[in-house]
Amino acid sequence: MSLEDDEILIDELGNTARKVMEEVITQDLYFDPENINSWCQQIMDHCLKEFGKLAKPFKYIVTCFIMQRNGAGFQCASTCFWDTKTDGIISVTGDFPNLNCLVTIYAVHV
Amino acid sequence: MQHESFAILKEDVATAVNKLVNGFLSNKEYNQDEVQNWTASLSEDIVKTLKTMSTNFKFCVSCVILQKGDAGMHISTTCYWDSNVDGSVAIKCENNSMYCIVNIFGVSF
Repeated sequence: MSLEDDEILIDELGNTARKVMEEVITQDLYFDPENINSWCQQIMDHCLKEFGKLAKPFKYIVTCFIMQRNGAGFQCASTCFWDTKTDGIISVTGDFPNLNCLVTIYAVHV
Repeated sequence: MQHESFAILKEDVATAVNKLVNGFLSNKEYNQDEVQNWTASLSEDIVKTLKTMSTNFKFCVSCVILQKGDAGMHISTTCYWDSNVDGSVAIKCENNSMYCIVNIFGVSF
């Protein structure tokens, strides 16, 4: 399927985010309050750089959530008020031995 | 065409959403069977409220409910948009058994 100039494949954004997440968060990382901010920043900055390269008329919001695996439960939901024909959302989760990671990408057509 | 800036709405949004979330949490204890419905209905209620405040924005609302315990947690957001007109608000509330973090993004179109 070929894309128009103002279309994106939301799954592609998700795959990029997953690849970046798995590069930054390695299997042996423990929750570290001193470095956690820089891990989140790395994931988000790398994602946004890749999305910017697509040069499509979209605004992007990337949310990164990292939590220590200690048995506590959590739930995340998103609701969006937008044009469902042109805008999209994708969430990717990473299950690492000591961390839970969730990256959500909102792509809004301008 | 001059676009309305999200900065104008920010304070009203923060006040309204704080009230909604605190009211929602006030009588609840973390329950893993219910929490999925709670996050969904809370974020829908927030979007309905936001729609009444402005029709010049697309809104994205993310709602996280986290059980209180020993786990550390970090949430960050980054946005690629027009910072003159677009904006975000982060709301943090809690009760005895859980934290609720809501991120609201307003994108002008």
